[in-house]
Amino acid sequence: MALLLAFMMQTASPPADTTETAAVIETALDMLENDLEDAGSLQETLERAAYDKVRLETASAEALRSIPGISERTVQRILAWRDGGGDLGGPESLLRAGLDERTVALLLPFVAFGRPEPRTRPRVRMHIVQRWQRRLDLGKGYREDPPSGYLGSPDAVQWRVGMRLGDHIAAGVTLDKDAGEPVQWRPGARQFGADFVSFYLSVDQRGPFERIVAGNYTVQAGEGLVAGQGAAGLSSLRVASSDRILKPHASSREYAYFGGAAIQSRPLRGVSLTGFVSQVSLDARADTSLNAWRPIYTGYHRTQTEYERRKQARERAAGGVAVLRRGSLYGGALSIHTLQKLDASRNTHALSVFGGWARARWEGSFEWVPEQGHRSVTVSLNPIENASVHIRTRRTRATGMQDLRPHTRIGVNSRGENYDYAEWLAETRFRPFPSWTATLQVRDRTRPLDPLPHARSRLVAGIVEYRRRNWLTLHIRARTQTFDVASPCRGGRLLLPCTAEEQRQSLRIQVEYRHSAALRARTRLEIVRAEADEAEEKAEGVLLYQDFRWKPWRFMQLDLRYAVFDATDASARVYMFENDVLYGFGVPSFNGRGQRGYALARMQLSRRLTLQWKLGATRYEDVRSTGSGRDETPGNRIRETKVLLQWRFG
Amino acid sequence: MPPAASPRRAGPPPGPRRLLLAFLLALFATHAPPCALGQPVLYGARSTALGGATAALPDDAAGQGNPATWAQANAPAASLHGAQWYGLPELKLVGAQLVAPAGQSAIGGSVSAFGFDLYRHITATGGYARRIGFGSHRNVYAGARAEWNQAYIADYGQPGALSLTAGVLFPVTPFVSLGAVAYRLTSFAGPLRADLSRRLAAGALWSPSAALTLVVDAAKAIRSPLSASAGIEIRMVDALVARGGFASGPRRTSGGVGLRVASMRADFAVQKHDALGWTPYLSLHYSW
Repeated sequence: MALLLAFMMQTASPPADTTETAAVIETALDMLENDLEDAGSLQETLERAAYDKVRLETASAEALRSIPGISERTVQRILAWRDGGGDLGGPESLLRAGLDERTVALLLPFVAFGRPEPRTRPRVRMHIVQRWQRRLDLGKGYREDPPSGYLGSPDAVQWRVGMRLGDHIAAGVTLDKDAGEPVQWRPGARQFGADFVSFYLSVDQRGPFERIVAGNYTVQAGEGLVAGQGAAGLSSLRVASSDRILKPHASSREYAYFGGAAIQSRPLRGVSLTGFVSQVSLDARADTSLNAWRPIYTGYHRTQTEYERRKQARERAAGGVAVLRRGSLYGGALSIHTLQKLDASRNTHALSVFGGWARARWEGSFEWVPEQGHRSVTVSLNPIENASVHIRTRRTRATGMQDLRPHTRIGVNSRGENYDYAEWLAETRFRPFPSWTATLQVRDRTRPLDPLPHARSRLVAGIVEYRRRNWLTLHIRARTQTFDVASPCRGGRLLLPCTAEEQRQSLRIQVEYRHSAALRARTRLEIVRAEADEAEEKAEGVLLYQDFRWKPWRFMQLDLRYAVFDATDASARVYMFENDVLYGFGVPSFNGRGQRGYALARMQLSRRLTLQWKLGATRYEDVRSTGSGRDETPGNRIRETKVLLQWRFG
Repeated sequence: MPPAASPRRAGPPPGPRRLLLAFLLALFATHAPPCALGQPVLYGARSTALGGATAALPDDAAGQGNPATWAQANAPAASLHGAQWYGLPELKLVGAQLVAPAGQSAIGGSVSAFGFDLYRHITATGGYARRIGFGSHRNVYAGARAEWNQAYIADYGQPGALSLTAGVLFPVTPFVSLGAVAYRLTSFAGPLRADLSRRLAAGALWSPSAALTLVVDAAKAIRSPLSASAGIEIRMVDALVARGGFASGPRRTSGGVGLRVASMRADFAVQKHDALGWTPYLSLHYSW
């Protein structure tokens, strides 16, 4: 939580879309390089929270707790101020409520002030998003006819329509077609044009009901079951959830949701009861070696083979969540029953017990799932200002449940990988001089890594930042990581796997200069060195890029980047976050030698209409083709373009 | 880079000059000339003496690579440059540059020739730079130049290509400047275009007083390792400055002096390449 708070402090303006949340995301990625998929979830969470602002004057305690990064202490202060008759008409009122400036800056992007204007009829607000993207240099799959090639065009298209009726009713539809997927109208096969369709209707805070959702939704409770998102490691900033348990699913992430109906209610003060039922279709393939069907969770239907696997199985799920909260303590239980219909029906049931506490100096949570052998404990301490220690142990056996959809299992990430690890992370931040900030992060994690039962990884990072009046920032980060990896045994140890050690060190120097409100420049140099026990030479990677953010007119913002990269191999690959169009997310990694450039234009054509356009190109040196398989593209260049149109009215 | 030459006609046994050509082609087969040595084609003696760390070096229209600096010129300026790489008379570099300011803008151009009769690399450039406020009382300098490169190789041909170089310079405070320049950001036409070495350099300058200037650069050419360079300039007396510099990838050390008399300035530098030896540079600069 302290990490998230620190990351959120990087923004000074409401993150309206990707280009605004970039500062938050990019900083968070420093700790997320191994969990980039979860970083995508984080971005969607932040963007959604920035769009659906919480109105402080009328929000329930549960709604307040759903604000990203907010602490229990802050929630209690806001409630006490409001219950005592204090007004919440603007940011200054939060200062009067006892919150410090940093916390207020954290909340601003996600909250609305004042009471809603009285209206004779509820206000209707709608937004329509149309996104199109395409690779301009096409791979082998688009040059061959089916069944070897892709069935559809290389265009990736997404439509999103969202509607809010007053402050209590919301509805949305998302249609998505990935590159290579066909557009077909086959009602019999439940395909209505786009390959993927999700929709929801949500009623919030009416009577005793916190939320009622029909359609597609996700469930998040405790630490482990994060239906639709997957539990993740400490570094993913995931924290225990016991308040906003239901979330409408408006994302294009296929399989990451339930479909049906769900209700979260508050029958008594401090008591939350949730029930949900779901039925979704799954892809499945026949495993001839085991003579059984296996579900598939990629979401791609680009080839004849992939298309034939579409919706071959069904999953029904029903469950409930009960949470009791008293002050800073909470406890609850979640029960979920899943029926999978493949060639034969499979019933599984899981019961999760979770709880936690949140104090000013320390907070923690736990979860226990007996059937899946899942145990998880997290403790975060803030013994002094600007210093924090997080400790988490998490262990999951989940035997016999590997075929279940990851999003209905407890203690796995969205790729279905079990968590069986112990880790601790300590971070301290201090300010020796007014303009200088130093941060030290240490992490130690032990987890099974086939075939090593106790592979260990360690991370030590030091960050020094110099900030001069918010217009010149020097950021230096040095980081070293050590991994245990399996290696061939020597000396007769043939039965036991042997352990070798790999090291990866990186140094990042970044200078950011805010010339004016119209121009910002950023230069980054990153040097990576990777070394394995067995390797004779160290692998090295270098990234140097120059960024500009330019607002030539009030209605237009341009993001420009030119980068040069050079990495010996994948172990020394270099990452760089890219600004993207709304609902896009890019953290490409590069190995090999080449250059990358992109331009992102964001135009506010009118008060209601936004147009975003991105053009990017990567050119590799000394290669004849890029990619592999059906995506192998002749030549050394890959170009892609994205266009997004957003229309808001009401 | 140009592929190895394939002789079309029988000739006398190769002499020392043809051996030098073979050496050059072998050197350039992996690195574009003369960027193989971490430098753009036209480089003044002042820039060389500072180790080539000139991405953020302001107030010099005398061949330092970043076209944005042209916009800082207060008066028209012309400069002549000469160098003899590694002391070899065949590896001469000669060039001339002219910068003409006009209000907040400036235009500039240069020509240079490198090599000898069996291998010659000719470069002609022309560009534009401008001072821009971007909504602030502080200025940003931005410039771009088109560059025609032509290489003549005996018994091979004369491949050429057009490329574009762009740079920017931020005087952050009176004492600190930041700069970046993308050499040959893109190339347009000609068979040589795939062989032009692209390079991105970013640097900073700190000048705590009129007598002391420190510069540092990081540069990455796509086909070469990362190069870090740093330089120091000390004004001994009003008319005389001493300079020293260091660069990596490949490792080079350099030093030099500058003498200013009225509107004339003469800069002399020497650079020592760890493997290839010494190179003398001379620049004459005149503004009116």
